[in-house]
Amino acid sequence: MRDISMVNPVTFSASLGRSIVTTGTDPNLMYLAYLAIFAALTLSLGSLAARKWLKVE
Amino acid sequence: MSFSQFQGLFVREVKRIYRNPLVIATTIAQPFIWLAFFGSSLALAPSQFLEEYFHTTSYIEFLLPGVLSTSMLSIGMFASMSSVQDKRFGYMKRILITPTTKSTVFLSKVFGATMRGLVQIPVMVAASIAFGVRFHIPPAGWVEWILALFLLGLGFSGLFLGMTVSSTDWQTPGLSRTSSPCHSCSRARRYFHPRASLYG
Repeated sequence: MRDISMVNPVTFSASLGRSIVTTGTDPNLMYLAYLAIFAALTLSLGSLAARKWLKVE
Repeated sequence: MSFSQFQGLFVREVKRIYRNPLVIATTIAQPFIWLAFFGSSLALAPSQFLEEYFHTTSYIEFLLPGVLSTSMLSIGMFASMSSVQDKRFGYMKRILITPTTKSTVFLSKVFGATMRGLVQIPVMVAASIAFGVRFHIPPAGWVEWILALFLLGLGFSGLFLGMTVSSTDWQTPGLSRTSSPCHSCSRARRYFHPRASLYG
Protein backbone atom coordinates (compact mmCIF):
# COMPACT_ATOMS: atom_id res chain seq x y z
CA MET A 1 0.00 0.00 0.00
CA ARG A 2 2.88 2.34 0.74
CA ASP A 3 4.18 1.86 -2.82
CA ILE A 4 0.76 2.69 -4.26
CA SER A 5 0.45 5.78 -2.09
CA MET A 6 3.82 7.00 -3.39
CA VAL A 7 2.31 7.41 -6.86
CA ASN A 8 -1.33 8.01 -5.92
CA PRO A 9 -2.41 11.53 -6.97
CA VAL A 10 -4.95 11.59 -4.11
CA THR A 11 -2.05 11.33 -1.64
CA PHE A 12 -0.31 14.30 -3.24
CA SER A 13 -3.48 16.39 -3.26
CA ALA A 14 -4.40 15.52 0.33
CA SER A 15 -0.84 16.19 1.59
CA LEU A 16 -0.73 19.50 -0.22
CA GLY A 17 -4.13 20.48 1.21
CA ARG A 18 -3.13 19.44 4.73
CA SER A 19 0.09 21.40 4.65
CA ILE A 20 -1.95 24.49 3.73
CA VAL A 21 -4.93 23.94 6.04
CA THR A 22 -3.41 22.48 9.21
CA THR A 23 0.12 23.84 9.46
CA GLY A 24 -0.24 26.88 7.22
CA THR A 25 3.10 26.14 5.61
CA ASP A 26 3.90 26.67 1.97
CA PRO A 27 2.95 23.56 0.04
CA ASN A 28 5.50 21.49 -1.82
CA LEU A 29 5.22 22.71 -5.40
CA MET A 30 6.50 19.35 -6.61
CA TYR A 31 3.10 17.97 -5.55
CA LEU A 32 1.38 20.52 -7.74
CA ALA A 33 3.71 19.68 -10.62
CA TYR A 34 2.96 15.98 -10.17
CA LEU A 35 -0.78 16.65 -10.31
CA ALA A 36 -0.33 18.80 -13.42
CA ILE A 37 1.59 16.00 -15.14
CA PHE A 38 -1.06 13.48 -14.09
CA ALA A 39 -3.85 15.68 -15.51
CA ALA A 40 -1.95 16.39 -18.74
CA LEU A 41 -1.20 12.71 -19.24
CA THR A 42 -4.73 11.46 -18.68
CA LEU A 43 -6.25 14.24 -20.78
CA SER A 44 -3.87 13.48 -23.66
CA LEU A 45 -4.40 9.73 -23.51
CA GLY A 46 -8.16 10.14 -23.00
CA SER A 47 -8.36 12.51 -25.93
CA LEU A 48 -6.52 10.03 -28.12
CA ALA A 49 -8.81 7.23 -26.93
CA ALA A 50 -11.87 9.39 -27.69
CA ARG A 51 -10.60 10.11 -31.20
CA LYS A 52 -10.13 6.44 -31.85
CA TRP A 53 -12.92 4.69 -29.94
CA LEU A 54 -15.71 7.17 -29.13
CA LYS A 55 -18.82 5.73 -30.73
CA VAL A 56 -22.22 7.29 -31.26
CA GLU A 57 -24.12 4.37 -29.82
CA MET B 1 -10.86 22.14 -31.74
CA SER B 2 -13.17 25.16 -31.77
CA PHE B 3 -13.52 27.01 -28.47
CA SER B 4 -17.18 27.87 -29.11
CA GLN B 5 -18.00 24.18 -29.61
CA PHE B 6 -16.20 23.33 -26.40
CA GLN B 7 -17.94 26.15 -24.54
CA GLY B 8 -21.40 25.11 -25.73
CA LEU B 9 -20.92 21.51 -24.67
CA PHE B 10 -19.26 22.48 -21.38
CA VAL B 11 -22.10 24.83 -20.43
CA ARG B 12 -24.58 22.08 -21.27
CA GLU B 13 -22.74 19.68 -18.96
CA VAL B 14 -22.78 22.14 -16.08
CA LYS B 15 -26.43 23.12 -16.65
CA ARG B 16 -27.49 19.51 -16.84
CA ILE B 17 -25.99 18.80 -13.45
CA TYR B 18 -27.53 21.75 -11.64
CA ARG B 19 -30.91 21.88 -13.37
CA ASN B 20 -32.11 19.22 -10.98
CA PRO B 21 -32.96 20.73 -7.56
CA LEU B 22 -32.34 17.38 -5.93
CA VAL B 23 -28.73 17.44 -7.11
CA ILE B 24 -28.26 20.91 -5.63
CA ALA B 25 -29.80 19.79 -2.34
CA THR B 26 -27.58 16.69 -2.27
CA THR B 27 -24.46 18.69 -3.09
CA ILE B 28 -25.11 20.91 -0.10
CA ALA B 29 -26.43 18.33 2.34
CA GLN B 30 -23.86 15.59 1.71
CA PRO B 31 -20.79 17.45 3.03
CA PHE B 32 -22.66 18.50 6.15
CA ILE B 33 -23.78 14.93 6.81
CA TRP B 34 -20.29 13.60 6.09
CA LEU B 35 -18.56 16.06 8.40
CA ALA B 36 -21.21 15.73 11.10
CA PHE B 37 -21.02 11.95 11.33
CA PHE B 38 -17.47 11.15 10.25
CA GLY B 39 -15.79 14.33 11.43
CA SER B 40 -17.28 14.05 14.89
CA SER B 41 -15.85 10.56 15.39
CA LEU B 42 -12.83 11.98 17.21
CA ALA B 43 -14.63 14.95 18.75
CA LEU B 44 -14.12 13.58 22.26
CA ALA B 45 -10.44 12.80 21.75
CA PRO B 46 -8.02 14.83 23.89
CA SER B 47 -6.50 17.76 22.01
CA GLN B 48 -3.03 16.47 22.93
CA PHE B 49 -3.77 13.26 21.00
CA LEU B 50 -4.97 15.23 17.97
CA GLU B 51 -1.89 17.46 18.11
CA GLU B 52 0.41 14.46 18.29
CA TYR B 53 -1.15 12.41 15.46
CA PHE B 54 -2.81 14.96 13.20
CA HIS B 55 -0.79 18.12 13.95
CA THR B 56 -3.99 20.03 14.62
CA THR B 57 -6.54 20.37 17.40
CA SER B 58 -9.46 19.88 15.01
CA TYR B 59 -9.98 16.51 13.37
CA ILE B 60 -12.27 18.09 10.75
CA GLU B 61 -9.41 20.39 9.76
CA PHE B 62 -7.25 17.33 9.16
CA LEU B 63 -10.05 15.45 7.41
CA LEU B 64 -11.15 18.17 4.99
CA PRO B 65 -8.27 18.05 2.44
CA GLY B 66 -8.54 14.26 2.24
CA VAL B 67 -12.32 14.30 1.87
CA LEU B 68 -12.14 16.87 -0.92
CA SER B 69 -9.44 14.84 -2.69
CA THR B 70 -11.43 11.61 -2.55
CA SER B 71 -14.49 13.57 -3.63
CA MET B 72 -12.65 14.56 -6.82
CA LEU B 73 -11.80 10.89 -7.33
CA SER B 74 -15.49 9.94 -7.03
CA ILE B 75 -16.54 12.72 -9.38
CA GLY B 76 -14.04 11.40 -11.92
CA MET B 77 -15.46 7.90 -11.64
CA PHE B 78 -18.96 9.20 -12.32
CA ALA B 79 -17.81 11.33 -15.29
CA SER B 80 -18.27 8.50 -17.73
CA MET B 81 -21.97 8.14 -16.81
CA SER B 82 -22.68 11.32 -18.77
CA SER B 83 -21.08 9.88 -21.90
CA VAL B 84 -23.06 6.63 -21.66
CA GLN B 85 -26.29 8.57 -21.08
CA ASP B 86 -25.68 10.73 -24.17
CA LYS B 87 -25.15 7.63 -26.29
CA ARG B 88 -28.24 5.87 -24.96
CA PHE B 89 -30.51 8.86 -25.58
CA GLY B 90 -29.08 9.59 -29.05
CA TYR B 91 -27.54 12.93 -28.11
CA MET B 92 -24.03 11.76 -28.99
CA LYS B 93 -25.16 10.86 -32.50
CA ARG B 94 -26.59 14.35 -33.00
CA ILE B 95 -23.39 15.98 -31.73
CA LEU B 96 -21.03 13.89 -33.82
CA ILE B 97 -22.81 14.57 -37.10
CA THR B 98 -21.84 18.23 -36.59
CA PRO B 99 -18.23 19.35 -37.22
CA THR B 100 -17.52 18.95 -33.48
CA THR B 101 -14.50 16.71 -32.94
CA LYS B 102 -14.53 13.75 -30.61
CA SER B 103 -11.74 15.34 -28.56
CA THR B 104 -13.94 18.40 -27.97
CA VAL B 105 -16.76 16.20 -26.72
CA PHE B 106 -14.32 14.36 -24.45
CA LEU B 107 -12.76 17.53 -23.03
CA SER B 108 -16.11 19.22 -22.44
CA LYS B 109 -17.27 16.21 -20.43
CA VAL B 110 -14.03 16.12 -18.43
CA PHE B 111 -14.18 19.82 -17.58
CA GLY B 112 -17.91 19.59 -16.83
CA ALA B 113 -17.34 16.78 -14.35
CA THR B 114 -14.45 18.65 -12.75
CA MET B 115 -16.64 21.72 -12.27
CA ARG B 116 -19.13 19.56 -10.46
CA GLY B 117 -16.38 18.53 -8.06
CA LEU B 118 -15.12 22.07 -7.57
CA VAL B 119 -18.55 23.25 -6.43
CA GLN B 120 -18.11 21.00 -3.41
CA ILE B 121 -15.12 23.04 -2.19
CA PRO B 122 -17.02 26.14 -0.95
CA VAL B 123 -19.76 23.91 0.42
CA MET B 124 -17.30 21.77 2.38
CA VAL B 125 -15.40 24.80 3.61
CA ALA B 126 -18.67 26.41 4.75
CA ALA B 127 -19.64 23.17 6.47
CA SER B 128 -16.26 23.06 8.23
CA ILE B 129 -16.66 26.64 9.41
CA ALA B 130 -20.13 25.75 10.69
CA PHE B 131 -18.51 22.93 12.69
CA GLY B 132 -16.00 25.29 14.26
CA VAL B 133 -12.95 25.17 11.99
CA ARG B 134 -11.15 28.49 11.63
CA PHE B 135 -9.05 28.87 8.50
CA HIS B 136 -5.90 30.99 8.51
CA ILE B 137 -4.91 30.47 4.91
CA PRO B 138 -3.31 33.20 2.78
CA PRO B 139 -4.92 33.88 -0.63
CA ALA B 140 -2.03 32.15 -2.42
CA GLY B 141 -2.66 29.06 -0.30
CA TRP B 142 -6.31 28.95 -1.36
CA VAL B 143 -5.29 29.29 -5.00
CA GLU B 144 -2.75 26.45 -4.74
CA TRP B 145 -5.18 24.17 -2.93
CA ILE B 146 -8.03 24.77 -5.39
CA LEU B 147 -5.64 24.38 -8.32
CA ALA B 148 -4.46 21.04 -6.92
CA LEU B 149 -8.06 19.82 -6.60
CA PHE B 150 -8.87 21.09 -10.08
CA LEU B 151 -5.92 19.18 -11.57
CA LEU B 152 -6.87 16.07 -9.60
CA GLY B 153 -10.45 16.29 -10.90
CA LEU B 154 -9.25 16.72 -14.47
CA GLY B 155 -6.87 13.80 -14.10
CA PHE B 156 -9.41 11.34 -12.74
CA SER B 157 -12.26 12.47 -15.01
CA GLY B 158 -9.94 12.10 -18.01
CA LEU B 159 -8.73 8.73 -16.81
CA PHE B 160 -12.15 7.16 -16.19
CA LEU B 161 -13.84 8.77 -19.19
CA GLY B 162 -10.97 7.62 -21.40
CA MET B 163 -11.26 4.08 -20.07
CA THR B 164 -15.00 3.85 -20.80
CA VAL B 165 -15.12 5.93 -23.99
CA SER B 166 -16.25 3.12 -26.24
CA SER B 167 -18.94 1.78 -23.94
CA THR B 168 -22.70 2.17 -24.16
CA ASP B 169 -23.41 -0.05 -21.20
CA TRP B 170 -24.73 1.64 -18.05
CA GLN B 171 -22.71 -0.78 -15.96
CA THR B 172 -19.33 0.02 -17.50
CA PRO B 173 -18.72 3.20 -15.47
CA GLY B 174 -19.75 1.15 -12.47
CA LEU B 175 -16.92 -1.30 -13.06
CA SER B 176 -14.52 1.30 -11.78
CA ARG B 177 -16.67 1.96 -8.73
CA THR B 178 -15.58 -1.10 -6.83
CA SER B 179 -16.39 0.62 -3.56
CA SER B 180 -20.07 0.88 -4.41
CA PRO B 181 -22.01 -1.60 -2.29
CA CYS B 182 -24.96 -1.74 -4.74
CA HIS B 183 -22.59 -2.49 -7.57
CA SER B 184 -21.00 -5.31 -5.61
CA CYS B 185 -24.43 -6.74 -4.84
CA SER B 186 -25.55 -6.66 -8.47
CA ARG B 187 -22.35 -8.37 -9.60
CA ALA B 188 -22.59 -10.91 -6.83
CA ARG B 189 -26.16 -11.72 -7.85
CA ARG B 190 -25.06 -12.18 -11.46
CA TYR B 191 -22.22 -14.49 -10.48
CA PHE B 192 -24.06 -16.54 -7.94
CA HIS B 193 -27.50 -16.75 -9.52
CA PRO B 194 -26.88 -19.81 -11.76
CA ARG B 195 -25.30 -21.75 -8.93
CA ALA B 196 -27.97 -20.68 -6.45
CA SER B 197 -30.71 -21.82 -8.81
CA LEU B 198 -29.29 -25.35 -8.67
CA TYR B 199 -30.33 -25.54 -5.05
CA GLY B 200 -33.83 -24.32 -5.74
